[in-house]
Amino acid sequence: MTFVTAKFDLIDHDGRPVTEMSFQGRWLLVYFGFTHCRVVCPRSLTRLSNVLDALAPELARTLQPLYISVDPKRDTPAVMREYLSMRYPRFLGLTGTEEQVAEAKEGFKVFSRPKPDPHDPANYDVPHTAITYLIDPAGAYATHWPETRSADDIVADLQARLRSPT
Amino acid sequence: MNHPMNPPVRGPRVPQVPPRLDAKQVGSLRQIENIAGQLDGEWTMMGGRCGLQEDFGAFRYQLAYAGLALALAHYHRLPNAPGVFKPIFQNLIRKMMHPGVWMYWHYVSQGGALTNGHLWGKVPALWDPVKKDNIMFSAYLTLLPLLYNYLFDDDRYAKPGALTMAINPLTFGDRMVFEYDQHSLSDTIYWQMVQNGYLGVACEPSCVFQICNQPSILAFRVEDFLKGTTRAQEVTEGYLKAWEEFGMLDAGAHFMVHVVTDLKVPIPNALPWLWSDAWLATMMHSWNPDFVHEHYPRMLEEFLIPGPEDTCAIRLWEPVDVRGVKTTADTADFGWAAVAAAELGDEKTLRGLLGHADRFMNPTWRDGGLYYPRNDTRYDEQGILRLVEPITSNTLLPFARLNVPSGLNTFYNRPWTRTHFAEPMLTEISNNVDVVEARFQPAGSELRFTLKARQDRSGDAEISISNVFEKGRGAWKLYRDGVESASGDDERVAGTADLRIERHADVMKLVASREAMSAYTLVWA
Repeated sequence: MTFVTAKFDLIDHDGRPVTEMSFQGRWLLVYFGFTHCRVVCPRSLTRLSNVLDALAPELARTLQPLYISVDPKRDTPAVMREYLSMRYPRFLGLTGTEEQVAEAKEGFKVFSRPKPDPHDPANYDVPHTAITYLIDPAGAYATHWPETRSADDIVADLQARLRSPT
Repeated sequence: MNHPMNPPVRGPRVPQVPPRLDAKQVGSLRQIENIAGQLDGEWTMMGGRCGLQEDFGAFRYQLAYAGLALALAHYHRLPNAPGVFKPIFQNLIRKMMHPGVWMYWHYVSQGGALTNGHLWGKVPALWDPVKKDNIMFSAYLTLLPLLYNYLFDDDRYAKPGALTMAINPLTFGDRMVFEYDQHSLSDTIYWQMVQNGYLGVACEPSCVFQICNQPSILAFRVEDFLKGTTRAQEVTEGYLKAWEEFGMLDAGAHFMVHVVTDLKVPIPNALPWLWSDAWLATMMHSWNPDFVHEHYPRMLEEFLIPGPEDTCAIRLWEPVDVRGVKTTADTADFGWAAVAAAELGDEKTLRGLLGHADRFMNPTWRDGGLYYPRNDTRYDEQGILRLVEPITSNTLLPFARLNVPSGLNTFYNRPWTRTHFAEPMLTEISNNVDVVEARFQPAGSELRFTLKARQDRSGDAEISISNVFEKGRGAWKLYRDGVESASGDDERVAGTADLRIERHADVMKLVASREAMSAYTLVWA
């Protein structure tokens, strides 16, 4: 029974159209969020960057980290490129139209719902799923880690999975 | 099996050794056995006032909470007698998959309920009762086999297709088969939870009830015991954050009932209903006990009615107007109040409610089972509560009687380890005796079990005890009512005239004449 189809059709932060097929042959580490996120995304992206740093270089090279926006209205490719290149350079940002992002969310069973931002009434917040997904080189869902899993756990899990034949 | 993360444990500590089952507790177990053992399609003593399986007395709730009552009774009271519970559990799961339990979903999936009437005509009718929404069934269908796997160390429902529901109608449509197993069911619920931001999975479309998501949390927890995962922790943390938006309590300080998700409208407990508060208090006490203890006792105060000689009853909700018709439903307010009192350790209220049931609700014995015949009269001329819904009789009063204070909370937080399953256990028990005690004491290396003869049965008692010979425990002696009746070691058995003992691989089979009550102790040197 397949719950996470891991299908998407988006634009990367350099303006190139990409789908899950664009990365065939590489593992994908996928995280959904938005660049205006104050707490959850910085924490998760920092943790995942540490995970990637902890991997042996030959393993890290087999892995493509993706950061998919749930806020396409504000997260243009240029915004995502600037955000990621300055803070989390290992990640490739993906965004698209509202419809494209909605389809990607469906493919990963991701929740997000804009709501007023109590700290910034002129703006809005987007609570979202904080799960990290691992997609195998054939484009199939391999596993996922909830926000509660430690970086050490994820490193150990990745080392085991990336070293084993797929 | 993993070790838990130590969520809060609250309430009085469980006594190390609860007393032997009393007659009413045995009758409660037998009542569950009786309803579960009925043939497919037979629902004697289970029919309630609503014929559409829509209300909270529906078969699925009776079967599911019967299973949870058994689980707690096994875990706390008869931990070394799985043979008492395992066959009943199999029957509960069998009956849960009968179309008479879940066919309501084809109609309910179309919307048109009191709070999702705006969806009527806009969402398709569904047949598969698990794939989308309907957590009010899927959570229980998931929970029961996971409990079975955990309690009896038997993964038969983990195999692909082990939980298959099917209809092959003679007068309409086509054959339909819905194949699941305990883990695919759990995954189906889990990913809906994720996609809903952990607020929960809907019952009827767009209606996410707090209460109906509690059993799925328990199911995740039990699956975590089996697989070493941490879904329950993930889901409960997400649940607390998600409900911040709507409030877990309403303006009247009762538990919020549900949220209409497409409209983002929370539905308060406006009448209010006791069933909603008591049911949620019970189930949430497993993982969020401090919150429950902080709020539930005050909710209960609004409903309790003192009665004679320390009995007490509860105030029922008044029938409501539904499309111009005064309507009521089986909501088991009395039953859930008793269950909550048992779980939260409110001995006075529990004693009062059970006393009321025994005094005013016509306790009746049938085939060894204690039940309270259905009574649709709400109050008699003296204003005494007389209403008995089948779920209260069959499932909830048994649940209240068989649980121990904080029983669900302890069950959630202190799982059995593999050591438990290596202990000597009563795995098969003839149906002419009741097991009222069965516990292995590792310190003394002794298994104590007590059998009571059923008055409505005849023949010798036959018991199979597993994990006896092949664990290298050495020499043993079996005492019956304090008198040595047999002895042996890892290879040899020697019985006496009134006991026949055989060895079958690792199992000791014991055949004994039935006495009114016999206390056995199997002791290793």
